Amino acid sequence: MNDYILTLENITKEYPGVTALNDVTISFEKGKIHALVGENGAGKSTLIKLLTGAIDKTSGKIFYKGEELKNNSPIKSLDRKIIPVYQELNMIPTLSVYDNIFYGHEMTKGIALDKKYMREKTSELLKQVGLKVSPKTKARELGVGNQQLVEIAKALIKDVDVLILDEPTTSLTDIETENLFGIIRNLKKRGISIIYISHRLDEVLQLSDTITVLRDGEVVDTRPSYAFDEEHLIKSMVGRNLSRSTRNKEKTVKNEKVLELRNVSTDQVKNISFHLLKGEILGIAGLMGSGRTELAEAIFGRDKITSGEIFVNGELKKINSPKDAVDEHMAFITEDRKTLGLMLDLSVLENVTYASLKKVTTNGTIDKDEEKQVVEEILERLNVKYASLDEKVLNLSGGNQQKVVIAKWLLTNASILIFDEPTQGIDVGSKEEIYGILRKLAKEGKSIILVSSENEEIMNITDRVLVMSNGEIASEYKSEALTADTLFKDSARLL
Amino acid sequence: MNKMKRTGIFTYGILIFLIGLFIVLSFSSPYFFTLSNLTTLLRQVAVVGIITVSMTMVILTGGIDLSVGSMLGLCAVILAQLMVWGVNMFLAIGITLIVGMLLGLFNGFLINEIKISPLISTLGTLTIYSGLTYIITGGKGIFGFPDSFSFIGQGYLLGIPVPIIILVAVFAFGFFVLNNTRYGRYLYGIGANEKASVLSGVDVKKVKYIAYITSGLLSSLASVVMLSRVNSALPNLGEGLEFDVVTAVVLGGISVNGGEGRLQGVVIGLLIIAVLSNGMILLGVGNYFQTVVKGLVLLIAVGIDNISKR
Repeated sequence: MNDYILTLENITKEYPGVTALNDVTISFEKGKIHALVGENGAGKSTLIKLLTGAIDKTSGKIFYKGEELKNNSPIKSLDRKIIPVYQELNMIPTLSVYDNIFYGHEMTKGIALDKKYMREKTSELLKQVGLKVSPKTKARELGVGNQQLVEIAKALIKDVDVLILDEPTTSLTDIETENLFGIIRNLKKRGISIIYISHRLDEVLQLSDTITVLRDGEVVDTRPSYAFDEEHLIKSMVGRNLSRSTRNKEKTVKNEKVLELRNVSTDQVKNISFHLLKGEILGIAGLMGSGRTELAEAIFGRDKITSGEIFVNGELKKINSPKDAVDEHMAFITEDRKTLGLMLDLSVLENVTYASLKKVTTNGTIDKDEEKQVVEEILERLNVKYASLDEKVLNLSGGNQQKVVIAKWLLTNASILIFDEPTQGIDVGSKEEIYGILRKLAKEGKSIILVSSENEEIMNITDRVLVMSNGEIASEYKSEALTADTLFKDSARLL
Repeated sequence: MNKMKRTGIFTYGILIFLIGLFIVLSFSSPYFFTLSNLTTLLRQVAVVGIITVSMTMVILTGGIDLSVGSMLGLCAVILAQLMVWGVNMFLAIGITLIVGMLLGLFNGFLINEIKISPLISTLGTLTIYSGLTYIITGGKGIFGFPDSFSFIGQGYLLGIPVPIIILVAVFAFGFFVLNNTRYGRYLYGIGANEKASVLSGVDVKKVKYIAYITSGLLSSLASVVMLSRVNSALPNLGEGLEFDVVTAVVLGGISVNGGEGRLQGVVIGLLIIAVLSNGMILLGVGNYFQTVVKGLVLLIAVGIDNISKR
């Protein structure tokens, strides 16, 4: 037998319209730290989901300890001692640390909880991860860094053979990170195999034994870490020069500031200053958690602004609520259209006019014929496919749902439109259509802020790009001057 | 599409239930299917019916108002006391309606500003308003109103009992608000997705305030009708009324999670409550047993709704 604990052979995972992983072959050595790197959407998350049984592969084979893994499921995967620690924390804030660690598999003595045992065991685990808090501490009293350590302690309670760490250092300080590395190295000494996912390339180079680079769902490179350096790694991740064929050549920008932020801070973002011109598409790039969405929320009055000023068309404005933003002719097409953008149980018609009912009402009474006409017009303009206006939005495809949200905001006559990941989870054809809509809007003199984690989208659609890192604007580029590797480097600059 | 049909079937289902109830009762009691009994039935249900309209509005937003019975009781004794003191009847009614709106405003304040859940807010005010009612009356009844006052609860206009006219008018108002106004659309929208409503620039607080104020207003309007019918203000006048109101609304297919259901259904729900109470009295079903049946009907209605949603 070889000393590989886990081997993926020719794994392909397809979603409707998208191939998330294409013919991926990776071998994970026992007792080593193997890093996976790649841009957003390269397929890292899909790969983890496959290993932990959250989703099933379309084709290919997975071997674990020499046997083929079939009919995997999250529970079976845990039984096999493959334990993931996710980037999002899963603590129950109101419960104590030991309750959290034993949640779902509490120890009992007779019918009563064996609290003494659980507390002692927790102390021991906390010692292993170098966390000096009492097991009785409530999870909500811990900072995010310490919560991350508790998550790792939780993984250690079971016998672990393969530990998957997904961006474990995102919310950690330098000291906490160093501490975590020490713990990870100790785990490695105990013979645990570690799959480590991170955006921070210096960390990856420092910590791991082997690095695999994923790009567009394919493995582009696997080597021992010493054979990589940072330049080389970035080049492999970003790959070919992005095609600029679809780039927007037409210049629609007018030198007229419609929106300006001066030193705006919230609890999530720091010291943001920039302006948006009429007819401009301004991209906001950055990693997950860099404050992109939070910036959009601050502009739209969803998050409390602690300092700084916002000017709309040159006038200082107080925007304390989304209503204030809407009154200033802003629109916010949210990332999460299902929970924030749409009323899934209401009809297409009701959704489309929801933010602009004033236009079709006189003295509060809705003119239903006019409403219907307005809705039909805009839906046709956006090429939305629907069976009937009374159909629930729930039944539309992702792309059409997204267009319904856009239709809703276009009807408000908004002049500043904020799009947060407008093409997330929709098929390629609809994506192109949405790009077309954005360009058309800019041409009509509307100003657009496009928050996106897709580099190609950011570079091709926009006129100018702000790169966010750790809640701040790290840099600004004219889109034609931006390259994928500068984008990547700047994204990690303030981490 | 599925969900739309479901609501449809649900309304259809209770309509069949109502018709079945009618047929069974017509055969069981010779008095049931007579014009005078049916008129009585409607007149009796007018008080509950008036409040079902505002309760529908409140529940559509995803909230609930448990204090309606207490608001009715408190408004009734205030109106009674004012008239006994010799305040002009119309002025007294006007003051009572304003008091009702203020009681509703307080509910809205607790829910919007203090962020106490509607269930707990109105459970609290249910007790407070009811306690105030007992303080005002000292636990005794108040009576001795102008003769003309009885017209509202007992009189006829063009041969139709006045309470029924008021009930129909309130429902007409409700239909218009829910189906044809911007405000009505927001009631549905908030219940369907409150966060999305906030982001759409809807003043969610204001919409909720208006719903709870309307709840207070219609509770106090119902108190006027009720007091005029019974002609004496007992402190326990509205006790337990919220149960019938909520049952009628939920039977009518208004989702307790908000955002779904039509007022047409509530009409049927209300009639079921009316026919059920009336029929049980005609059949000589004991008071205690009636309560059990009503409770069962509520649970069955919600149960069917939940099961059909899976």
